[in-house]
Amino acid sequence: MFAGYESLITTMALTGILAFSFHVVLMAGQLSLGQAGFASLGAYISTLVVPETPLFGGLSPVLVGIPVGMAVGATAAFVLGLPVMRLRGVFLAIATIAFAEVVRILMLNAEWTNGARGLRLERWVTPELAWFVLAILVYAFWRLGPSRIGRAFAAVREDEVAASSMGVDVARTRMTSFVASGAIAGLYGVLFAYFVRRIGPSDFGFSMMLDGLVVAVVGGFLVFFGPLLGSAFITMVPEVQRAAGLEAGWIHPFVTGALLLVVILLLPGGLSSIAGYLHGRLRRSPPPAPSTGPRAGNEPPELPELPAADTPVLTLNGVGKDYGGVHAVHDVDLELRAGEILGVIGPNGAGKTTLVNMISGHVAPTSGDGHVLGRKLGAAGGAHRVARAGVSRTFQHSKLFDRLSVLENTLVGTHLVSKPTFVRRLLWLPSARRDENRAVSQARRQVQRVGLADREHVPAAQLSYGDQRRLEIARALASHPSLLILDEPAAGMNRVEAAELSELIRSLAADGVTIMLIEHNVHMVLDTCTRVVVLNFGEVIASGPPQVVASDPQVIEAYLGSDETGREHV
Amino acid sequence: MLQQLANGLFAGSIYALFAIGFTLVFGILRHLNLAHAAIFTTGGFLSVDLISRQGLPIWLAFPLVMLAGGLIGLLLERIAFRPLAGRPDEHFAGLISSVAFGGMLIALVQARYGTEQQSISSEAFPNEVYTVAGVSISLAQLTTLGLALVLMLGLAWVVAATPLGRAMRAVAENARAARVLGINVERVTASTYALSSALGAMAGMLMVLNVGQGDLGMGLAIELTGFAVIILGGMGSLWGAMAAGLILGLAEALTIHHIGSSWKDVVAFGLLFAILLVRPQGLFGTIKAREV
Amino acid sequence: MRSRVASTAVVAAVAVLAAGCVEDGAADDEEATAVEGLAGEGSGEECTIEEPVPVGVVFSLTGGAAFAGEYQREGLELAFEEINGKGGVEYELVLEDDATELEDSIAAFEKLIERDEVSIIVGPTLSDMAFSTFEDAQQAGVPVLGISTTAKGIPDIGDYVFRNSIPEEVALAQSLPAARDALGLENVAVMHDNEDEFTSSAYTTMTEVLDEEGIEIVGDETFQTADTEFRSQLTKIREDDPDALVLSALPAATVPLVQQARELGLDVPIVGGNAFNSPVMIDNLEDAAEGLIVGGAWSDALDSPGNAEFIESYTDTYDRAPDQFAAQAYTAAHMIDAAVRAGCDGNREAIKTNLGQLSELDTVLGTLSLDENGEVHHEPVVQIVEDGEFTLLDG
Repeated sequence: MFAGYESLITTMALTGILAFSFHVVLMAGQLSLGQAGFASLGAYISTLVVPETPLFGGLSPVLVGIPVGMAVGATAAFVLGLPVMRLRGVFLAIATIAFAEVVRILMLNAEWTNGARGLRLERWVTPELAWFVLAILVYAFWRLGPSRIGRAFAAVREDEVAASSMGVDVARTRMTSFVASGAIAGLYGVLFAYFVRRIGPSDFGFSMMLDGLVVAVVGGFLVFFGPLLGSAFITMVPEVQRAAGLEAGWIHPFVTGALLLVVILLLPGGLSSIAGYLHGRLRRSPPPAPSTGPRAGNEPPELPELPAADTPVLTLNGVGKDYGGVHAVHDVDLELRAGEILGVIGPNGAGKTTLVNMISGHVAPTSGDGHVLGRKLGAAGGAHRVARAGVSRTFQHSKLFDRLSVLENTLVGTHLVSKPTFVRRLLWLPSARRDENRAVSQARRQVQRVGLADREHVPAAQLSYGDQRRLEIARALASHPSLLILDEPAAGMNRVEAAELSELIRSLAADGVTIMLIEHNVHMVLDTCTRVVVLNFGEVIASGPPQVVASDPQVIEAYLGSDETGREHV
Repeated sequence: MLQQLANGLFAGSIYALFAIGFTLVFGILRHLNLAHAAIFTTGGFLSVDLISRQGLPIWLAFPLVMLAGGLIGLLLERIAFRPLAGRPDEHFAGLISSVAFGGMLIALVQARYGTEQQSISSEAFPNEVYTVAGVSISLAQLTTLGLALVLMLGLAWVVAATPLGRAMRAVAENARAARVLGINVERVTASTYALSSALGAMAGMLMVLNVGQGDLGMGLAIELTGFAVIILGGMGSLWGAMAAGLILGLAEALTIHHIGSSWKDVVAFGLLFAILLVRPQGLFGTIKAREV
Repeated sequence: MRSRVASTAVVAAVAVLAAGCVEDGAADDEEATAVEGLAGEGSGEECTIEEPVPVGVVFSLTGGAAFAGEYQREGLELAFEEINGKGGVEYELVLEDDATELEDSIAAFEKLIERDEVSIIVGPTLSDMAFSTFEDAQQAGVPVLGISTTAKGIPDIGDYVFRNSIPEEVALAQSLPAARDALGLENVAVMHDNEDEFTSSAYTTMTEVLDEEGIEIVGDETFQTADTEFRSQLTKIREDDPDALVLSALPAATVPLVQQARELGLDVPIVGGNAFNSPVMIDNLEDAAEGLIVGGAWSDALDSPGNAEFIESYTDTYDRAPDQFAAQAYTAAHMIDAAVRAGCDGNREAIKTNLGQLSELDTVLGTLSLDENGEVHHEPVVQIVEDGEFTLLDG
């Protein structure tokens, strides 16, 4: 069927493979562009081990080279990843491009690579082999999406801070995507070399990087078959132009550029978003994701016990945060026990959010010490460790995973209470399905709890403001926290909604969750909390039961306000 | 030795001029404009067209090339970047759209000028060489350094002292707030691209003047060095780009002299790496390298 | 769980075996079935063939090698237009651009061989691409004629592979001794582009030839293909004080290099190979081109059969003077025509056989023959630039 097109379809498959090495880092939101360097290393080193003749009389010698290439690529990616791990965005892009260039120059000047003249090789890659490898990658990425690590990638891409607060180890997730990219690029390098029959350092340069990036973005990095679509598109465009009778020469790159531009401008999310659009149109109601079918949601998750009432959950001694002369928080003593609902109020700029950031591990204190759920404040490791200890929080300005649905957002929240499922998903093991269902059921429960059950599949960015606040709470609850910190959750809510939220908070506390509530809605705070703390200019000016604090004159002056009659405004 | 230093300085001035356009767009708008190299090349070819084919005097060609560059910059912004504003994939998509635009531009340049190398004849621009303290310097080199300095200082003045410059700095800090304050963000964006591309086109013209000819691939070579310059100098820092361009030019000349030409890029990228790890905001930059 | 892993492993192993099969070594070279309409009657000038003979062409019309590809296309199209005008045999060109990309070159060759079913392929522009694509052609039994693929080892790829572009060794083996005799060279400095396949293999040849001729190398500098600044290297060479500078570079780098050399006061003669043979480059260099010694395959000053007419016709048609690339393309067309008419057969096998027997053919490159390996033989030319023009250097 494909006679006469073999090289073309092999090229299509190989381009798809290269694009996957970009796809995996773009999934995690990173602009890592060193793939040409990994491919080059993988290709050159594999030439040292690939035999000259077929194995056992019939098998392609490249089969030996493939694992070697992948290992080399992965290792190189790891080694590169360590120093560049803290870079983001354009800086990461340039650093990785620079790496690829350095590799190219090293290969150019090395003796054993034969420099610019390159190495001549046999063609050991058949269209069948190339498509087989591509099929495996497509399969793997298909199974990756709904797995725990797939969600972690998406979370890191959408919002790193929120991801870490849900217990995702951001650094490790990024490194994983990095190493995967290296492995796939190394794989590509080997296949490429043994298809085109040669390697020269110039093959693995800037233009290879551009090709891979373009295909990955045009195909779309939000859906698992993006690289496949992108590669088909890019490979077919010149053929289509030829068939249309366009003369060989400058017209071809011009038209190709124009088509690229059109695709990118019209299709956010790339070509694969067309598939999503069609899928949505063909169905009347939003489709259930594979692991969220009707039966899912019945299996109860195994959740650890919450701390018994009255156990110390949070202890702060003289904790402070200085920003070069500005005392955001100064000498705060605080104690919180399991089962309490602590309200934190105070004027804007009083240091409430800074205090919360220190507790949740996003910021380290500059003075004093404290413990939260057994973990020292400011200890190395970052916010995800604190989350693992049982702390969960929402943010003053919603940090949702915009492109993920309500359910998917909440599912990220289950990161800490669910098990890794990717490897088992590859093998279609039933235990993976069970674990996924447990996670979904946990997520569903929280979604129902906050009243968003009928909007499960709506992307977070499309929710109303109030719903977004509620979604954040659902997500925070999904990790089964011992301490839940809510940063102005009622902002933008009306009386009825605030009352519902109040009810929810009380029920959570009844279930054993310790809650810390930062709010400007003083009525709600007085209504809901068992104890209130007032901050002003970074210091605690009052602490105690709600009614006592409300009538404290200092508090009234600083925050609550009074008219000439001396009555407080509450 | 002195000759090597002189060589490096002059080469560096073109790097600096190229990089400054690049870093301007990044500093103000956070876009990485991968079409800049194509605009550079177009500027070079246009200058040959104006001078050698249309017979215009060189002092007239300078402003015309800059004007053309500016217009292309406006077109680029309108077609490749503005439609993406606000989209979640804005930055990744912007890379691709600028690559596509650049490709189309080069194809058009080839359509108009063919594939040969082009050069400016010596009637239009004399091939004078001066010798100072044993060091040979050509008129082209002097012109390049002079013009580059004038343009860079001019740009720095615009950014520091004019209303447009203030608006640009406001947008760089916080586009939303700038809009609320009544700044026309779209116009500032368009102006930024126009300025950046005018400088890029000019850099292309100076390159052709210096090198003796332009060819379709001239943009690719300088693009990578451009990356090194803007990182070294600090993304978004104009003075940084200037200084880093010159420093890199010097470093390359010294590397070629002492080690060998193949390694000059390794030195450039090694410096880039070191800076990214030790001081990510570059020698003079203020933009944080980690966007947390 | 274990049985699931085990069964997956078995499935995977079977799949790998199925996908990973290859044939040992090169597939048997196919013998294309002869197309009846391509075999004609008569021979030589009297030959008539019914069907048009399809000639596949792959050049780099865009991308890094486009500076050569355009000339090649023009030279080839001009020649075939003239040939078609003679009547009796009609040639149909199928032109593909490989955009200086290896994968595109492979795809273009596949299209021409498998889908367009051409009888012969001319090109590609770069030796780099040729090493891969000529293998494909060889295995498919399609003759190929390289016109600018001068790297070592090309004709050895197989018996379907031919070229008419004399390898760098031959050009240099002529130009270097000629330069030495004309200029009395004892020591030279060498500069080469070590990033490009062509120039770095030429460099190896240069050093060998210099060694054989007993010329000492006192300075040896390198640069990269895209470089435009050479003053650092040239400054070092200036200090080495050579009698001449031997250069292996592509045209893009040559102009700034030569200009900067002159600016730095390095006034010694400069000697180069095939890549210098470009009138455009000489024009761009203006005065700095004086005294440049160039070895190559063709010169516009060459008194070869049909050369003057070729130059006139080309200049009229395309508004610019031809260069060596155009001349070699032009010659290729005539070689193909000669081969087809010799057996009056436009089939692949026939062309392959007859090309291989091409001997003492009069072309604009001079009198040309192909040996049994597919390698070309004709007198190379050595030129020196005087008054802005290429003139032959008798050495």
